Amino acid sequence: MSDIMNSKDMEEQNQNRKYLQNKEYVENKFKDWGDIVKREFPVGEKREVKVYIVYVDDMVNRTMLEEEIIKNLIVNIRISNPKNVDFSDPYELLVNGGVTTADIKQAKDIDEAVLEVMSGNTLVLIENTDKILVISSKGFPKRGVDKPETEIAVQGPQEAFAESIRTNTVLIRRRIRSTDLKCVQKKIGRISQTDVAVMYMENIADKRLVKKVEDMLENIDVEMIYDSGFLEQYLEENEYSPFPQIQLTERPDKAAAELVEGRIAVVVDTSPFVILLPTVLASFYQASEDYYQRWEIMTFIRIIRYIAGFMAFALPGLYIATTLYNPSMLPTELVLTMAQARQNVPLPTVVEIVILELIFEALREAGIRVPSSIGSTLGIVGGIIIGQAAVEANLVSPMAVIIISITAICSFSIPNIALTSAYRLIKYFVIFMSAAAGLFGFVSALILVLLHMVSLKSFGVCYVAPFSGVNEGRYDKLKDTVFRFPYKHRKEYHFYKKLEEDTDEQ
Amino acid sequence: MNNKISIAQTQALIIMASLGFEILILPMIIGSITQLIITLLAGFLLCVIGVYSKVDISESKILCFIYSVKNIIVTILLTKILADAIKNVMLNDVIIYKIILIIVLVSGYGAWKGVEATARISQMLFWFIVIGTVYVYVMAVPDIDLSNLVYKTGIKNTGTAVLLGLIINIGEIIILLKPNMKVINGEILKGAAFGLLLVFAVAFVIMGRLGAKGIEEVEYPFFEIMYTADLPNVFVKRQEGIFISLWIISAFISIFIYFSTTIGYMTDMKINKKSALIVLMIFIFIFASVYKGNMRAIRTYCFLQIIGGMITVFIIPLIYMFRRNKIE
Repeated sequence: MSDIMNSKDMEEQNQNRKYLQNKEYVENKFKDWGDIVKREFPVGEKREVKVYIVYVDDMVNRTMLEEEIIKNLIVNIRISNPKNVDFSDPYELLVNGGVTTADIKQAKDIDEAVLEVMSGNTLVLIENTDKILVISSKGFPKRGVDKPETEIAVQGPQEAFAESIRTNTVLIRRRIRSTDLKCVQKKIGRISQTDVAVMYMENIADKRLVKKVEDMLENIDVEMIYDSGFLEQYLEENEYSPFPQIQLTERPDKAAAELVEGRIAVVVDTSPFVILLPTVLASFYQASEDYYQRWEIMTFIRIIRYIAGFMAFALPGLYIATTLYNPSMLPTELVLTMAQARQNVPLPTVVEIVILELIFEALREAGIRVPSSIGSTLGIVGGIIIGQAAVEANLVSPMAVIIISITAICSFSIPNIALTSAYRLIKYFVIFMSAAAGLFGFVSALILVLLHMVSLKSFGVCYVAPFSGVNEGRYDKLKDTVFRFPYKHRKEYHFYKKLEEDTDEQ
Repeated sequence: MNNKISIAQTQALIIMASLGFEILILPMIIGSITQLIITLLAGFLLCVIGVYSKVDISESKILCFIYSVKNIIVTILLTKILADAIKNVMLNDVIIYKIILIIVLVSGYGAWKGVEATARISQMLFWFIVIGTVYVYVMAVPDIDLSNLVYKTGIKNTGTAVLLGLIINIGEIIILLKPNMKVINGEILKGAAFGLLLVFAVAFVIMGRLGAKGIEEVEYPFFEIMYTADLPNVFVKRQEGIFISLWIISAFISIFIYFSTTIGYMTDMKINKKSALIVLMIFIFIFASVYKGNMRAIRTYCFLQIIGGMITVFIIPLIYMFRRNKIE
């Protein structure tokens, strides 16, 4: 009997030692943390068991913590039914009788528990037990659901993602009330330990694709993840390509729609943009609004977008090619007018166009950086006053200013800023080739760009699908590209479901 | 990229390739409409042999060597023909070396990206190029003078026409692309038939419009139709620039096929892909630059296609066809 008593005492002593060790470990880890809250207090009728609670100030929901946890532990646990209080297993007692929140878990070890504290949860160490309790109590200061700023739609929902991962996953779940919508959560970043959620429709998304995404995320070895744009660059297959191979969206309705089409969404904590993959070129020309308005007008707008997209990188090159090498293609009156306007301009056409393009790039950059209140002034000064003065001073020809302006307008017509940026870069290459060999150089540049584009793959899916790279149902998939067919005429809504048949893995 | 192409992509490649050099060269060397039909039928027969022959170049190092050597010479000649054509119709004031350099660089990049990339481009641009070409020649149909069409029959003319069928490189392209095809079946012949039909239509319009005398007088009868066709215009006064640009893409596709398959065979012969590409690019640039005269290049090309093609498109595939049938 005394042996049994002795072994029980020894076990208690061991557990108590573990409690003290964990407490000391936590103390050391959070040394010099001005914003950490640590408190040890006794619980129970006779206050016989000590509890040590740790959380980061303002990262927790303080109301919930005080009402549901601390008050219960200190007061309610004693007054509720003191006679039945049994402290033989203090962990079980706290879990089943003290904490009145469902979202709790037992940490595997103290390191995991420390990580949970840094994620906004509350760590509870309990005397006489080596178990560590973690209570979900996240309550970060966060921005509410705002209006989208980069994907504005006249018609349709006006909600945008926020910086909180949970807000973002909820915004998607609200739109897809299906148990097939899976959300696998991971932590990425050795130091930042950023929460990342992989969302997909289990019955639609390709399982190999899901695995590939999860494996790629698993293998990312980086200290910090600052934003989804940062993660995007780790997920790209060809990092030297100017073309975006992954799409970002700030619209929950778009993310939800794409999930149903078979794509995967990667939600990154602290980022208001959700990653959508795989990505094809056609998806950059699609806007949420396309699906909320009648198909005739949206088809027309899509065609305009594709033409504008082409003009955004081709127009200056085409201008140079036709004026320098093939002016006979243009009406005689126009050629004469252009020649007359250029009469006193000292710069060659190519230099004139490149300088104007660079000035416009500087103006665009300045427009983003300056406070919005003086943005319009900058536009007037840069665009109108300087442009007008440059033409009057014969530094540039009016035609060149018109070409640059049309190019800029066309670049703004593309619904995705990442693709616009790619076109901005390619434009200079097209200018160079056109300057070297006129229309032939222009065509050669287009072929080179096309060769590059068609060889790109986003998670095994051909970048130019469904224009190429679809083995089955190509014409059905084409119904939502340059044209947006009426819904009744579209058989296939799961756009990405059969594209993977063209992957290298097969 | 896995460098494998589907049936649809193969068909697009074949049609695009037929719109490249075939429609440029054939009207210049074919004397009559009957010869044209026989030549095209012979070309189609070579396509049939190409599809049903079990020849796989990548399986034998000797075949890789034979086809690589021929491909290199063909690529040099096609580069030269394309460069001269571009200089003639588009860039009179630009030195030819610059044009050749651009062609070699673009083709080198195309070869680096492989057959799959070329096939994808063909598939994407297929309708633009086919519709563009058909549009120009349909607009030229009203000016056809049926009396311009010459009918020559007889054994000699027929024999010449059959031999000229070897210039139709669709059959050769089918054989070259075989190691890259996912599926090889009779569907490919539909593409070949469509391509040859387009070649026939274009050559028919050229012959009917210019006549034998007119064809002799102009340097490129194919471009002449573009210049003289009565195309409706609103803003772009001279639309031939647009159609020549479309043709340049088809011509590039033919060069890409020869260049990239050569790189593939050289890799099969254990020659490093990158070094093979660089050496070939330099080689093509030098020889295309020193080769003088466009008509000489075209004649050499035809001679090579007839003599070399007899071995690569006719004899070797036939040997493989019968050998495999015997084994089976």
